[in-house]
Amino acid sequence: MKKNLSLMGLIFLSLVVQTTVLAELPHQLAKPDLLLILIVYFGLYSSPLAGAMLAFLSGYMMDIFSGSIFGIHTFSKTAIFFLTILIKDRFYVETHLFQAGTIFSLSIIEGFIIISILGLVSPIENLLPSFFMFIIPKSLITGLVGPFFIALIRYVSLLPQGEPIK
Amino acid sequence: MVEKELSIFKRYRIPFFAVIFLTTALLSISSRINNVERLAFIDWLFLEITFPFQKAVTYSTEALSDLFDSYVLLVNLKRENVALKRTVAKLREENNFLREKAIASERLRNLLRFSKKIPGTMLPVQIIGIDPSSWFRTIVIDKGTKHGVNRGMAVVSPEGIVGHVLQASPHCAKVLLITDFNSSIDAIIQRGRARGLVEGNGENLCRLKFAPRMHDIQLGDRVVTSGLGGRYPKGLVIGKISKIKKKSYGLFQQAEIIPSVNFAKLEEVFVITETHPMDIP
Repeated sequence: MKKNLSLMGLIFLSLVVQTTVLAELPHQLAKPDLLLILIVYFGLYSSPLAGAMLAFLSGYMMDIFSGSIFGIHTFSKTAIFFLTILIKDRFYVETHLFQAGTIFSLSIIEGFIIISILGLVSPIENLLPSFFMFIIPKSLITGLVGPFFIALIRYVSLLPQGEPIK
Repeated sequence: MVEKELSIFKRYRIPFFAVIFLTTALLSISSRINNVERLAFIDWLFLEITFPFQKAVTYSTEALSDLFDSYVLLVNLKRENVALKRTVAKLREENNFLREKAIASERLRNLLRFSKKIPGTMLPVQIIGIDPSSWFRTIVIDKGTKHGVNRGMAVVSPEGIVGHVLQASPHCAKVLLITDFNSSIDAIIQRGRARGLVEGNGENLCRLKFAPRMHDIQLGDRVVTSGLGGRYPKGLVIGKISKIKKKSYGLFQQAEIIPSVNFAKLEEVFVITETHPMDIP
């Protein structure tokens, strides 16, 4: 319970940082998606139920602050969490390079999910350019930052290495 | 049976959770899709809880950002300052150059005006050298015999008389200034018409000698050339009386003259290569 609360605090903190510090950066700069990294972390090191709840909560909170269609992040983040579980069960995920690659790929997939939902539910035309303009740079930077962020979380021992949340 | 059910749940719990959570998320999209502006209580609560933290972080970030900006600004200011100093130096140089041009232009205009006043042929020359010794007062000009400059010719400027050509070589000439010991010019006091001889005193002054004692000479009187001797045209300004030495005895009086030409600032002068016997207007 204590750990879950700590993780919720971490989500909250990441969200605040994402909506303040990172949002202050110039528009031209790609910004890392800290919540996505957190969700990958949950997927790698937490139990499915707790992780799914945290991922859902992260997405939900992002939706609250986001001006887009409500639920789009809730869905995408939850989907990313379950995809991470699938990856975790099949690959060795402890190397930084693999983590970076996983985060990069999952960020791209999340972009696809969001674009697909937007394409389905809203009359926005020609969304593909935004994929190259925003999603690829954002995925690259998220992939680069990801292993360091995960290492930082593990360093401060919010969640001991490999220990699942009960 | 219960154990079997639990075992199935354990085996399929991840897909089960996935379906539950993803469906909920999709339902969430579906429920809000036509009502984007609606703010649910839970959303409102989240926003309210997060707001103070966001505000605090934003203020801190802005403060840090301002501090950083100020630092960057200082660095930029330093760079800008160096660049501006360079520009100012360049502009000053340019300004000096232009001022110099303007002064030269004005001087040349005066020379031209002056040359039209003088009866005769005038050759503009440039001063290229000044006597290095402290005994003599001579200058070197950039024209010589090849240009028609010969020994004894008068050298004048718009301000007044400068001297005469002492020596001439093909391409340059030496001019004896009126302030030199060896210079003597027949002169007249413009106001009282008293005649005398103007000699140099070796400094930057001249002396009026052999002016008859009975003539009225006053301070500030202009002294001009008399035209006698044929070297200088009549009426060229030599200078002004600055001191009068009149003894109680003797036939003559003496006076000190400040030349009208500032020899320290001379740059261009004229050599009168040909004179006509008429007064200067």
